[in-house]
Amino acid sequence: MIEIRGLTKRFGRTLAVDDLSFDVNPGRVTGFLGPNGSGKSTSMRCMLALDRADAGTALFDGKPYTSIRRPLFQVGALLDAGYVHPGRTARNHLRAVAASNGIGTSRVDEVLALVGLTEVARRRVGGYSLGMRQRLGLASVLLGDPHTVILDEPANGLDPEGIRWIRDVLVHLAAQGKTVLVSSHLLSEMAQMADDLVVIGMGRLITTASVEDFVSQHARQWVRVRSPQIDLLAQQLRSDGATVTSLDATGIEVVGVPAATIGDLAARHGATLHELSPLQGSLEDAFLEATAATQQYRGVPSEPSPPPPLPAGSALPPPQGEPR
Amino acid sequence: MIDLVRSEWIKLHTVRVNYVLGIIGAAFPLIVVVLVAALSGEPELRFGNDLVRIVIDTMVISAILFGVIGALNLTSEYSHGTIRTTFAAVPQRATLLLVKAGVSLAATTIFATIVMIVTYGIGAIILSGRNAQLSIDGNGRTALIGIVILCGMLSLFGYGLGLIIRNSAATVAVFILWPLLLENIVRGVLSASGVHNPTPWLPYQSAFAMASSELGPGDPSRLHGGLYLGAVVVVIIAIGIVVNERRDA
Repeated sequence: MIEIRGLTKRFGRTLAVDDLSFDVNPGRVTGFLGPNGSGKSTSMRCMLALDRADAGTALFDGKPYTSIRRPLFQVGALLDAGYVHPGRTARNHLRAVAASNGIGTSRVDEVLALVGLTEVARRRVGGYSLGMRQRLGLASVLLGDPHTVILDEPANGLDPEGIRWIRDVLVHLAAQGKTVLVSSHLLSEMAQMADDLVVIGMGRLITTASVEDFVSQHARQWVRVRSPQIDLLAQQLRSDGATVTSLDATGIEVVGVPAATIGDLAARHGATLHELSPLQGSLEDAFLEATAATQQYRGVPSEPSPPPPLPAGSALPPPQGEPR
Repeated sequence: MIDLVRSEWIKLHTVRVNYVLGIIGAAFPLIVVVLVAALSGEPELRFGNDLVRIVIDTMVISAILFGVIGALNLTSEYSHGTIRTTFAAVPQRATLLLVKAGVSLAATTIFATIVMIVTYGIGAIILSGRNAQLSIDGNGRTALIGIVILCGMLSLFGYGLGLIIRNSAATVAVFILWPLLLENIVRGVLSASGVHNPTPWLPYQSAFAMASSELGPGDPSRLHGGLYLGAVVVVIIAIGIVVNERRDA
C-alpha cells in the first residue's frame, strides 16, 4: 500500500505539488491522471525520494522509501524508459541494477524473457526503439518481483500489441495482490485497466474515486430515444423539465431524465419505442470535465472547416458515447 | 556492500568509453617507453632512474585520462538519467556514492599498477639488451609508487568534481583546466602577494612531487604533495556527497 500525506514540492517559485494526499491500495490498478504539468511525474519522483519533497510523506507499506533496504524487492518503478546508458547492453544494464540489490544474473535472464527481449539482450540500448526501452524498463521493475509497482507513462512508444501486453501485465500484477500505480495519457487504456483513479491538477488533488464513480460524477449522461411518436414524447419530456435535442425525424437525446422514466412516459402515452439507450461520456470526457479548470497548456482551437454536404435523407452522426 | 561493489564494477567495465580511455592510458606510456628505449642513443637511457623518469612522465597523461574516467563514472549517470535508476535501486545515496568512489579508486589503482609494471618491465627488457644499468634507487621506487597513487587520486579528483558539477563536459573541462589555468592564476596571485614559492600551496601541482624521482630545492615533499591533494579530494567528495544528498536527482 502507498500512503501519500501532504506531499509538497516547489521548484523555485513554482509549486509543482501542493499538499497532495491519497492512498493506493493493493490488489487494484490505480491510474494517476492529470493534465501536462500537473505534477504527476514530480509526485512519483518525490515518492521515490529522487526529488526531495519540501513537505509531506510517502510511505510504502508503512515505510519511507529511503529506509527500505534492497527496495527492488518491495517497490519497482519505471519513471522514464530513457534512463539507460545507450552504450551499455540491455543485459548489462539489468545486471548492474540487479546486482545492487543482490539479485542474480539468472533472474535478469528470466525478466528479459518475460518482456520478450532475450534475443536483443546483448545489443546496446542506444539502438533500441522507444518501445523496446519501455520493455527494458518494465524488466527492471520486475527484477525483484516487488509488492508495489509505479509506472509513469509505460505505454509511451509501444505498438498496439505492446499496449495490450502492458495492460495485461499490470492487471495480472494487481490480481496477484500487488499495489499498482500507473500514470498514462492513454485514457482509453486507463479505462480498460484501472480500478481506481487519482486525478490531480496544478499539483493539487482533484479527486480519488473508482473509475465508474469518476465517470458517473464527471461525464455527461443522456438517453437516446427513437420512436415513431417522437414529437409527442419530446413535447412531454420538455414539459417535465428535461433537455431534449432532436437527432432526426424519429430520434431525440434527453438529458436530465432517467431511461426508466422515459419508458414509463412512453407507456402512459401509448408511444412505441424503437430505442431507449442510456448513454454516458467516456473517461476522457470525464477527465476533461474534471480537469478543465486546471489545464495549464491548452491549444487554440482551429477554425472548423465546413462539413461536407450530407447525402439526401441521411442523419447527422450521433454524439460519441458508450452504452452503459 | 559487496552487492553495491559488484553493481558499480559492472557499470564501470560495461561502457565502451572507459575501455577506450583505459587503453589510451595504458598504450601511451608503453608505446613511448618502447620507442625511446629501442631508438634513443646510448646516453639518454643509461640508468634505471632514467627509465623511471620516462615511465612517470608518460604516465602523467594516463593519470589525467584516469581522472576523466573517474569524472565520467558519475557524470554519465546524470547525463543519461541513469542516476535516477541508481538512486531508486539504492536510496542510501551517501553509501552508494562512497562505494562508487571506492570502486573507481580501486580499479584505477590496480590498472595503473599493471600499466606501470608492464611499461617499466618492457622498457627494462629492451634496455637490458642495450647494456643499460637497470638498478633503481629508493627515490626511483618511491616515484613509481607515487605515480600509481597519483593516478588513483586524480581519478577521485575527477569523480569529486563530477559529484559537484554533474555535467560531463563541464567536469572534464574543469578537471583539465584546474592545473593549467586555475592553479596558475592562484600561483600568480600568491607570487604577487609576496609568496616566494607558491607550488606547495597548489594541490594539483604539489601532488606531482609524489611521482618525482628527483625533488628540487623548492619542491614540496612527497608526503606534503600527497596529503595536500588527498585532503582537497576528500573535501571535494564530501561537499559533493552533501550536495547530492540534498539535491533532486
